[in-house]
Amino acid sequence: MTKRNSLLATAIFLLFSFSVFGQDDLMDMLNDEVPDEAAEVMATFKAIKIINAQSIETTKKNNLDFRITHRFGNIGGGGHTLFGLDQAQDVRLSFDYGLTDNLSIGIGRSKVQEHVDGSIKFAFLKQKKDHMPITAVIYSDMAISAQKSDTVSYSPYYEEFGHRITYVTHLIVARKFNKSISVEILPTWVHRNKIDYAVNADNGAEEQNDIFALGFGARVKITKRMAIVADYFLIMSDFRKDNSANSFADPLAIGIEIETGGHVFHINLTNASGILENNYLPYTQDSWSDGGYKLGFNISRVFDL
Amino acid sequence: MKYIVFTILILSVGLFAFKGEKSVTQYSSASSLVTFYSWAPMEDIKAENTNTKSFIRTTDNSIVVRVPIKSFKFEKALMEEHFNENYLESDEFPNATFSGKIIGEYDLKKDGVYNVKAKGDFTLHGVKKSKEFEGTLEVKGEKVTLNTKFDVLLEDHDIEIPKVVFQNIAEKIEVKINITYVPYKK
Repeated sequence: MTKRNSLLATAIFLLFSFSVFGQDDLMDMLNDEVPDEAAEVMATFKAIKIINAQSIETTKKNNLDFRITHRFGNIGGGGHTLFGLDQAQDVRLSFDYGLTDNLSIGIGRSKVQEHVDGSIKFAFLKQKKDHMPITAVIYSDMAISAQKSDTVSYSPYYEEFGHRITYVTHLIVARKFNKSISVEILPTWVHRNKIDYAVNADNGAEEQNDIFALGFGARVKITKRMAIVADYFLIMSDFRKDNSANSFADPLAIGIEIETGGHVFHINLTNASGILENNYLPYTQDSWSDGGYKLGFNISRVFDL
Repeated sequence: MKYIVFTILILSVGLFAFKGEKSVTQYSSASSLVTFYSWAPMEDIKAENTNTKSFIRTTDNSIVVRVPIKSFKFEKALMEEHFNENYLESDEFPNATFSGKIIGEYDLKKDGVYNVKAKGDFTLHGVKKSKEFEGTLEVKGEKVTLNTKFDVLLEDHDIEIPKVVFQNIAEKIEVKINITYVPYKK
């Protein structure tokens, strides 16, 4: 090809490419030049709690979430307690209110230890498609035990008001992998102002005021309105590990979640002793292996105020 | 050498023609409001969306509209969640789109109100339907305003509403679109 021809070919080619560019698909052009704004991923979990564990969901702005949570007795109790149905191991009533879409506060009262608690939950990172892979939330609560101080048996024995107080703080990190699978982890710190002195005779570890735990939670949707949910806490306490005289267990829960309009309903099985973190993290002693799990349910009703 | 000069000359003429033509044949949305209403026995539901984007190109009368589903704002947070998660499944189908041609007489350089139709593909909840919409284009100086109103049948787009909340949601949703365009400058 001569020099002249090649130049002409280049010119024609260039002109041609311009005209092709001009006929580009208009929708592609819109998507390229005015990109979609990243939207937050919604409904990673359906309720503010999975079963025992807090989820990354907060109560939305101006909404009030009224929750009734119930745990029957141990199924291992057999026919004499109708597999635990005769008993109410724990009952909790709570209200959570959304100050903004990312910040909520709550109050509650539980039967076990007569705990009255206040909590705050703040979502500081939101998962966004192609922009942010995770949602992160900080949760903190303070519970006051209203139990009568027992000066005879010394259980419980509260010398001063501060002894009644316990705190739980979670960092919760979650990811919704697709429309049916969501997973979270919860690095957790429990602080109890007062503990009774105790030693694990098997390894010499003393009971501590502070306990650290690592929680895991998951939700798998099986139909549009139904999901299987589960959560588990690995309690990192030497005192609780292999303690033959006073055995402890890691709380594990599994359940079914059903959503009907404004209600979210859970039926679950768990070995946890109580419903509130301040109780079940340090004090779960029932084990799945010897019938120490109980039937429980949660009802959540959200009101738009 | 003179061929090179010649080539550059042709190229620049082509470029200028292209640039000059483009600035007056394409319009982009400057503001928008998409509203939907559902009138049902138990509950009237309304949602608004101000994040809709659109282009009009007059050389071939084409129009494209993109409505991000998650940008619909509802009165109640729970409704918004159900709308996204259960009905429109917006994680999977983030946008409703229209891509088609404007039919009818109009001149975006001359003030006036033009009754036009648009025919093309309307995609909602991942289901594409060929549809024709009627509306108006109002030209006032550089600004062009598009107005249209139409109904969407939920079953046309495989949007399932459970029996429990059937009384709360109409089978037919009314959609109103208002978009203001300005000449597109890149």
